[in-house]
Amino acid sequence: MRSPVLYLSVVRLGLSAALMYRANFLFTAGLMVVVGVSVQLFLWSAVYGWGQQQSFAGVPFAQMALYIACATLALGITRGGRVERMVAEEIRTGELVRYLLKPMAHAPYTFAMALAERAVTFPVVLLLALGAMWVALPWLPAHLALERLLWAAPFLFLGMLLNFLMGLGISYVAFWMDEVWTLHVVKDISLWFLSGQLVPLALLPGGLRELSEWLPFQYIAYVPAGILSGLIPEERLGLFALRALLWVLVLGVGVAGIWRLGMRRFGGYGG
Amino acid sequence: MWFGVRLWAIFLAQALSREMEYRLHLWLSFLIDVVWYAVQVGLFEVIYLHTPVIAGWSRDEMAVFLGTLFVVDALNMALFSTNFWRIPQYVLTGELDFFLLKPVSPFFLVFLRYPNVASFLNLAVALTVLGYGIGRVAPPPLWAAVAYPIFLLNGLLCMLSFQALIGAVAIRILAAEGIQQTFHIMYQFGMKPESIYTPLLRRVLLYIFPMALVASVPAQVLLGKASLELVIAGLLIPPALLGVSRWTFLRALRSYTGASA
Repeated sequence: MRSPVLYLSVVRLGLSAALMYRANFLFTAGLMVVVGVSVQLFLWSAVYGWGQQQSFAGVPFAQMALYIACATLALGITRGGRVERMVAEEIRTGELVRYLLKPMAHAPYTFAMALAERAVTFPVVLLLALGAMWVALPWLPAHLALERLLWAAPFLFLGMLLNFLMGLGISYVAFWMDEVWTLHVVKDISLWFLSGQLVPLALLPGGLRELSEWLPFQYIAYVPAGILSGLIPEERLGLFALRALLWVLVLGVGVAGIWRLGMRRFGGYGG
Repeated sequence: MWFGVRLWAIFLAQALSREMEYRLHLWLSFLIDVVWYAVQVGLFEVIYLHTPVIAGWSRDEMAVFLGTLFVVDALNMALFSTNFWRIPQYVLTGELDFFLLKPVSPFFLVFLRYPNVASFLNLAVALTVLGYGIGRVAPPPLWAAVAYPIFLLNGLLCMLSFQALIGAVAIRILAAEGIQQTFHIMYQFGMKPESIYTPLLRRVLLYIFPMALVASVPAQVLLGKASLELVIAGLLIPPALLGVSRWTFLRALRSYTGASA
């Protein structure tokens, strides 16, 4: 592991690269959040009978609406980006050789680039999601408490890190397979459900709910959105943080293992 | 007409031959849509664990809606979608020149040249979901059973029309990937029954951006729940929309100057 200063300069470079693609990327990322929040809020309003039903599975409408909006926002922030997907292409074409010559480890380098990419999308996604909430249900943003925002922030970072590691692990499969983009798409679509973006994981039937507690996906949307909406009580946050860190470690070791195995195979004939 | 069918059969045979060379890709493409279906079904299954009805739709009726959505989506993916995503590339590389030189309608060639074999496999899954839903609801009236395939076809025509309109924009502005993605994001409005939306938005989704005609109206027709207004709109709007979008697309081709040579 090299000096963090080195990776900070990579973040700066990544910011420049992310801004190059800003128009297209920000527009689609923003629209995805706005439409996603709107459609979900319409659905859940209908589930609550447009105000006729006070609570659903013990959750009042205001809390559910806040959860759904925050879960879409959380997935918008933590979702996989262009950077880790490009790694597969670099392995396939042999361009990876350029990184091997640099005095830094590949995974932290890619994470620094990914961090920069998210830094550009984050404010746009946040503002658009708040705007969509305000347009759909003007009273909703007022339910966001600053204290819960502060609690949720580290979990958003952990969720982003976990999603990044899953994405990078998939991209490293490119050492053995030509096309891995389908695996990225399968992961992204699965996360809509597994991360709790579409429906709070607490509403799953018994066995599935318990299983979801042990998997890493909930940290990508359910946990941050649950904290923001008050669905998850503060006394459970320590346990969630511990498990999330454990998953970061497990996935980090797994990704490093795939990288090492892949490097034994990599010929680097392109570039 | 017969010539078009024979030509498309050749395109399908070529696509099949290509996919057989990359079988893993074929199965992974199939997997993407199966996962997408599972996510949509999973969402409603979890909600129906806690409530019997959503906006007038019972669990079994929702299965009919989802089955209809999946069938239209699978047909769209199998026939048009791959071609739709290729349009900016055709324009930028000048490949469109070769479509224009052939003695076949460029509209036909642009939107049907590359069938997606994996999506034909998905169609089987979609039909299974639809069959499950139909088997669980009361038998539809005879007129509804007869009319349903027509409304299903009209839902598909709507999808083709939206893509043709965006294709026309792609020909004019060259870099249209953003607009193509925008269409797929807006498609989310069609993935839920139109009765969940506000009255104003329902009007918009019926007459201005008729996403409700893709799956919601056909499913309501089959379930005998469609009002006369929905039936008339579902019958008349899709062919009219296709006519307008085809005209717009062919008109846009006139502004195409070619990028090759």
